[in-house]
Amino acid sequence: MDAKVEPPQKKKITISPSPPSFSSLPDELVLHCLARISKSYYRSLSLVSKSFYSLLTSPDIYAFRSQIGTTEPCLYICLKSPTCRHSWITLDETLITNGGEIKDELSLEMVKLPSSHSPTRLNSTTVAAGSEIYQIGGINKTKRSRAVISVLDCCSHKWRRAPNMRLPRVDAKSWFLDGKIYVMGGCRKREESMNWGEVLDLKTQTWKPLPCPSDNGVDFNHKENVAVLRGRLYVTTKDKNYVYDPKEGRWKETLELASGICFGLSLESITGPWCLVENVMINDNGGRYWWWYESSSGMIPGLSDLYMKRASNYRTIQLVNYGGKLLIIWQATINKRTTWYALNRLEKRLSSFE
Amino acid sequence: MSSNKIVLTSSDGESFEVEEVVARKLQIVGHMLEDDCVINEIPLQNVTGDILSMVIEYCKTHVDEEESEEAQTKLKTWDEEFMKKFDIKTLLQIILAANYLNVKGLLDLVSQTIADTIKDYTPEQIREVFGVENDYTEEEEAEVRKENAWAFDEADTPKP
Repeated sequence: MDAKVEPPQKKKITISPSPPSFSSLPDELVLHCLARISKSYYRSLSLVSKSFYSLLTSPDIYAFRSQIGTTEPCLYICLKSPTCRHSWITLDETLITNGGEIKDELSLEMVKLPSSHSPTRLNSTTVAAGSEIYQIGGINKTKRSRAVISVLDCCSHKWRRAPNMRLPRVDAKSWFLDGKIYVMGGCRKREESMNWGEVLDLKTQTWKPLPCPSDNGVDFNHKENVAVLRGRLYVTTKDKNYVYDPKEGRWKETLELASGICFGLSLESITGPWCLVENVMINDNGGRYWWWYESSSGMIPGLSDLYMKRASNYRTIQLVNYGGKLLIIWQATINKRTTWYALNRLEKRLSSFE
Repeated sequence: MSSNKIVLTSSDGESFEVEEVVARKLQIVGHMLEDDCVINEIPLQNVTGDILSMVIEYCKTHVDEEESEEAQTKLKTWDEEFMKKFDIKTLLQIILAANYLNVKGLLDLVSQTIADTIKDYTPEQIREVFGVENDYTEEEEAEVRKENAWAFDEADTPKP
């Protein structure tokens, strides 16, 4: 590291015998500089002084980052334990390297959240919108289903409430699209026909109903039948597929997903975790990785070694689109102990599929 | 465009005669000119002549910002070369001046340069170069180090 940081070179212009120090700069100017440095350097920078530490951890720096367009993706993982207690962890992005494996539990950083209001509802649905995470509905400690929305601000790490939904929902589906959060399903059968879904406009913070795509109702038995693709919302059922264009504000039947124009397969027939990376759908089917794009699909080259390496007692929990990269989170049960693993591959390889 | 000349005077009494279009790149001057268009000499209290001359050099180069890709690339190369001339302490003075004189392009350029320079510094080097005092007590520093323990194990190996 030292090699890079020689003292200022002699040929460079040095003016004024007593130059200003960083501490004489107004905070705003220090933020101007720090907001342009990758967050992966912040751990080291926070050791400089208390004022550095407080600047680097202040919400202001995120405001600056979004102002100058230097925001970076950050992965939040919610661990739900049987005792109903949820804990949130983040992953240090310096550890996410191409093809790298993260084994060390130390690299998972506990998010320090105020204990006063930490929602621990089970069977809620979670969706990220910008720098906020919305936890929607679920069951509270007294086993009652809720219409409550809790919002985790990832800049300040504080929870706040958003307006309640119009009715309680458990195990609903949620997607973020174009400044709005779409929540579908999860209400009681008899309420469903009138209240199949609802939409939260983040700007106005108001809920509006979202009609059901089909007169016969859509039942979410399967986990994987809603997706957002190219700015539109897709819902697949056993017989039919539907698309919702926010600009038109209504559902239409579509043949896209069924006829292989979009995914090659309908979402309905895909089992196992999946995610979308730049309109390419990636699916983990029992440890084998498949991709779909337009009318093509295939096995992902290079990930078969991963399949070989992993013993049968590994289980993929989720695939994540991490700033355009594929992140695989799996769980390994060794000596009855659960360890978290994450691995990131692909990156540029995806472009060669297209 | 008017070819009016404006005289800018630094805190240490150095005067620079520049075209009005150049002077207007300093938004602080632009606002003064809007308030009263007969001014032709403007004193600038918070900037020394050495630094002001650098700011003027930047403004002269950026006076007509053409949209063409070629012109943009040329300007970018000039910016990079321009920034290479200064050591970190001078950069700190330029950022202060750019902020005071309100030259947004220069402010962005200098903060990016400072960011690129300091990101690889160790905390000790940052304190030394920037004159920041380590106000952690030993216990507090140990606590922060503990929080980041694994990060420092890695610090010995150079980043790719």
